[in-house]
Amino acid sequence: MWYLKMHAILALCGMTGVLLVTRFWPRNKRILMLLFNLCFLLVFSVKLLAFYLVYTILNYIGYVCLCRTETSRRLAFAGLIVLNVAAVASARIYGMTFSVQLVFTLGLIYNVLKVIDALYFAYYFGKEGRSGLIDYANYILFIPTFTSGPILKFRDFMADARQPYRMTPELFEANVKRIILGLFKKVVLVPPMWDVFYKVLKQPELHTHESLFLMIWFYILIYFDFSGYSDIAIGFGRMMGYTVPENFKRPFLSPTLTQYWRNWHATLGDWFRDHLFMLVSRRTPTRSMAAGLSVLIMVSIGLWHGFTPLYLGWGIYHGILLALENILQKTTVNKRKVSKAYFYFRVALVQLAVVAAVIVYSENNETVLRIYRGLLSLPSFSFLRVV
Amino acid sequence: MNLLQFLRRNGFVLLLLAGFLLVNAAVAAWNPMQYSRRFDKDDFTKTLYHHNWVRSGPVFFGNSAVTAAYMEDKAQVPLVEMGLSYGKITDLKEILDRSLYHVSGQLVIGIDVHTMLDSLPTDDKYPWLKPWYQPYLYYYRAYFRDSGKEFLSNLFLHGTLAYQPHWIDKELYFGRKDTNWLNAKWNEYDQRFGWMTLKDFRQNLDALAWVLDYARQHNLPVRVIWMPWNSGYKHPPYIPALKEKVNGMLAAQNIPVLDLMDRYAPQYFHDLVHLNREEGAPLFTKEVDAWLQSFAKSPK
Repeated sequence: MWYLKMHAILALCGMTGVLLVTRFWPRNKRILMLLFNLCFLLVFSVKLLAFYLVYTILNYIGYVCLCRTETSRRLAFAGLIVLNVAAVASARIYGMTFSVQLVFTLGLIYNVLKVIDALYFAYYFGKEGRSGLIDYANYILFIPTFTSGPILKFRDFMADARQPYRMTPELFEANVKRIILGLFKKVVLVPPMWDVFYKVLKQPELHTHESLFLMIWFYILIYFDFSGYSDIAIGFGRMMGYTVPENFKRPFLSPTLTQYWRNWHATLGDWFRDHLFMLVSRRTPTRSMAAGLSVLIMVSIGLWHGFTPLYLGWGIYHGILLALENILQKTTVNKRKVSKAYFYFRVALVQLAVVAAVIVYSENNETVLRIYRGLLSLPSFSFLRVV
Repeated sequence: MNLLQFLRRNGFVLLLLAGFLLVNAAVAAWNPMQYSRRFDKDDFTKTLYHHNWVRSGPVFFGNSAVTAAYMEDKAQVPLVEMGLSYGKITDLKEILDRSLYHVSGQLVIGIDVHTMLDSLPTDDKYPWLKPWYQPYLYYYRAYFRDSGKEFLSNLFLHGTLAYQPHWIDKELYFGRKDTNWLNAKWNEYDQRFGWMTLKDFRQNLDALAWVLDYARQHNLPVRVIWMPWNSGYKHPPYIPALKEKVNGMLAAQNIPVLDLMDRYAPQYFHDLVHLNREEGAPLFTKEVDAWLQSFAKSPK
């Protein structure tokens, strides 16, 4: 969200400069990063900083207790997760005041996933998995991915934190190019695409072709918007010495929905899959178990996006499709082992399935229903009568 | 790593930086914000435009109340009408300090109820507001973005590079606002500014002191006019203290003052602060003319 503000971009560039200049100090990456994260939030909003200070410290205490405790570990683990999820869910269910809305708009639904990932680490690794407050705070408050991911993995972040800050010219150049690409998508492509979207949506009545156009256009639009943000986050994150995982891995070339959800918002899908699978079974699941878990994962992802019937429906829709892929053993297609025609046929099927429901991301019930209603309204082709 | 190796390995980033700095310098030198009709202009630039880019002369400075009230083309003692939208005394100080305009002959300052409000938001296109360290392209990025959108729209939707020049005239005020509108406006002003005290005018009071000092050093006669306020509504609460303070500063330097704040009936106003062009402005211009002419006739 703040990548559209030049001051934020300049602050991140400035911080990169500071890290480069202080790279001979072994702890620069950890301590200066924490100072930067805190100052950035302070300048952005005192309320936001205050909330996240309390949130981070409370969760760190929970994390440390879970690392240390030897009795009732499962209860503590479950309790801490339930508390975090309940807090986020309650605010969603009971509505938001402006102050709470600010917090939600700014990262909490992403940061709660990071907190839970840290708790998993604490539960499975115990004392061996314990990290210091500075690194924990950097993990939660990491500015490049604060508002919209990609979702960082606790283990990978801690491993990066232990490495000294290293930057080569080639890496620097690659990251600068990545940031430019992201800014191009977000600043140059996305705004006019929104203009076109709203122009077509403003029609007094939508017909099949207009609704189809809007659904496809919206799909491409949110790809540029979200992947653009991810590009900037990855570029800056890596310039600050932390490996930010890829979030979009050519999703338009995914031949199955299972593979699609590993390539579109990959870190989110991976997070839910890893954490829910881990709870249920650490052995390879049976087909029916995998099918059931798919429905559970997609419904969870849907509700994570929003506590609305539309997102619930979206989750069930994708869950059922994934479940069918699991039951029919159609979860993967190896491009090298099938014909090109078959491969692209499967790709087209997947994209069709995604386009059918992607408009839900517009988060406006009226827009979504208008567009679906328009699908069923064939144009009159009155211009043909003139001919 | 020697210098050549450093340059080779960091070539892309260094070229990118150099390219940006060069393009920025070139665009800043062209200064399209001032000279190109593709961009909206601030009132200072509009003043220069309408005076053939001449940067010297006698000036009547103030905010939009001056633009509304003073009819330069009808004046017997013509002054360059330099009313700036949301203009403040701090803006006048910057204009003089940066030699953006050489005021000669005389300087008339019109002060209304808003001219000295430190916190009043202003037009960020005024050239003195751009920090020196901010690149031209960065500071005016919103305007370049809008102009770029317009350019692309003309090119792709109408197939032409031609464009509609942006409006270059200052806003004038015709007719009269109705009572409901005026009441709502008064309440809005009261809410936003009514609680203010002299400390909220500190920067502009300091700027006024600077301007008076500048005028004294350059032998520039200064006159001050308290601009008209719609007499159908009571003054903002800070006016008595502000007038006392400002009048005290002016009296200390023998600056002549014409107080027109309560002189005009509501019929001459478009709203609370702007005289209407049909009736109020001609009357105001005539009165200012007579007053300024009295200095020419006076032996002192």
